[in-house]
Amino acid sequence: MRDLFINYLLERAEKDNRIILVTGDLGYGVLKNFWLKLPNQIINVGIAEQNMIGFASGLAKQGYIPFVYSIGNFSSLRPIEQIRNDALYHNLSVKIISIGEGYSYGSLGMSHHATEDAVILSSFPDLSVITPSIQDDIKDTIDYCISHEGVQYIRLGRNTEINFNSVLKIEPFLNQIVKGNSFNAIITYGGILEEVLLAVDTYKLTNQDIPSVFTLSKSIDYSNFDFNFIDGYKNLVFVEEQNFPALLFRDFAVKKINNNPHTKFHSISINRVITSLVGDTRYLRSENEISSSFILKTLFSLK
Amino acid sequence: MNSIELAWLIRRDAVEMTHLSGGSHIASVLSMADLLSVLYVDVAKVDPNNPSLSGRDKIILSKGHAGAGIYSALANMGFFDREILKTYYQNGSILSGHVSHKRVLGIEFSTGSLGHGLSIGSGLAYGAKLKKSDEKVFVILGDGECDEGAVWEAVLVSNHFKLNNLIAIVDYNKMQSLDFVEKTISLHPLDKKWEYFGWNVISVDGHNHEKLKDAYKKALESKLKPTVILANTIKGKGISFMEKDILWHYRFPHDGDEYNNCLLELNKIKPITLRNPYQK
Repeated sequence: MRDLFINYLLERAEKDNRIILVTGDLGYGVLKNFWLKLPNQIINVGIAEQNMIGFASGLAKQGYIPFVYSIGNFSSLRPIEQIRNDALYHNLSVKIISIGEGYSYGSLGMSHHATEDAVILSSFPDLSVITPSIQDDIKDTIDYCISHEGVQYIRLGRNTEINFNSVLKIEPFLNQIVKGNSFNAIITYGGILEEVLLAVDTYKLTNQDIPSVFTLSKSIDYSNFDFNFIDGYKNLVFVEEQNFPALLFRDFAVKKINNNPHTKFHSISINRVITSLVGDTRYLRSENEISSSFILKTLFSLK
Repeated sequence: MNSIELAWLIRRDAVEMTHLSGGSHIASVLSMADLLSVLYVDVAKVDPNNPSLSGRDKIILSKGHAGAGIYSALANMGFFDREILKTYYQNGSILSGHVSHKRVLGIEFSTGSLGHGLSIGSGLAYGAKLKKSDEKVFVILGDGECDEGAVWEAVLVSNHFKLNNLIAIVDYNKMQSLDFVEKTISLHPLDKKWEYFGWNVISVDGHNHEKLKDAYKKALESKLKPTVILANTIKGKGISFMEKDILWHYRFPHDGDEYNNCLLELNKIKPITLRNPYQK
């Protein structure tokens, strides 16, 4: 997965000198080819991840497209304030790569388990979290990152090969991997797809009702995501190598909650913005529609 | 306008802005007024009529809590209307307490969490070299800010990549939030620390404009190393009862004697060539 990613990134970088690979002293062997072919487009900033993101923000401000490379939580949780304040708030094109999503680095221990990063970073507005699942996703990921401004966070496994293919590409990052014949579906992303397919293959040995399997490898943009592909399913199983409540479960649950015919859920919270408004506490609550007047409005609207 | 005039305006505006808004950090603005005014008037290649000028020098206020100072500098240089300064901190203003770049012409980066600016500056400087631009990058830091590990990450990287186009200025007023720097986390000898990390170090009286100009000039001449100017300053400089008193890291001049005495003291040191914008 990571080798495919770096190889395709190299292909793009050979034609676009805005692309700079910034590593935090990691990538032994993996980045060797990139280093040999494009020594002016790769830089090692050492084991200093907060500086790495700030540095990349400065580079992006100068018109470059830095892809920042590290492993586990080092490029996400360690410099999370820099991601938020320096890159994201300034809408700078900083692309953050983390190798070792989920339990990829298993035996190395908890410090190297990326099991909360996707959920945490997905809480930031306008930050896409991408965990490629199949080979097609790799190219889609890099193409998407280069063509879209702003910050994307890319989580890759360590495997060098991916053997799974899509039977139906519904849209970029949304693929059907198994066409089942039942009202059950599994939705997943990343390396844990192998566990899902192993389970389905085993289930098939003794059962006729085969679940469908989908991969949804990019975090949802609530404003324009089409949930229709899950219509008709009675059971949706979300398999995610993240701590509960995980990313997809949370997002689909919100959608389901909104459509629940028996119990209505209402959320009064900040609408996915890091505000640049200036004002006191009450002013900001009012402008972001979480003040008492909005609570009251909701109370009056309840039936 | 000369740098002495701008420094006075920064001090006078800081009193007014914090007084009106109830905002903190006046002493942090007063200590950096001189190094900031010399930078804008005599050193940096920026154009108030074209804030997006290609190849312009970049100025990052890493000690973002002194935002009132840079807002005043920019307004008086002509980046935006001075009238906007009155809205500092107010509901609906564009001028937040910690420096904001959104809709504020002349601000390159929003800051406020200490320790970020030098990293950004190192990336800007590296990127400038990549695209063969001769622009310079100036990052103004607080001395307490040098407690942050991220600062030293940037110091290491900047030395390694020989970012001679990067100039850090430490507003070395020897005080931070709760006490003097040396009683909090000792930085002494700060000059040696930067020097051993590979930087050129220039120590200067941070309130002497001629010496500041020389320091900036020398920094700009560096061929191989980034430079830090350790500007020895006095926290609260310019208003005697604010000088070297931790209280004024937080307190704003209240109505009555405090505010009036600020004005009395500043009026005594107003450059005679300068028209006081607060006098009708």
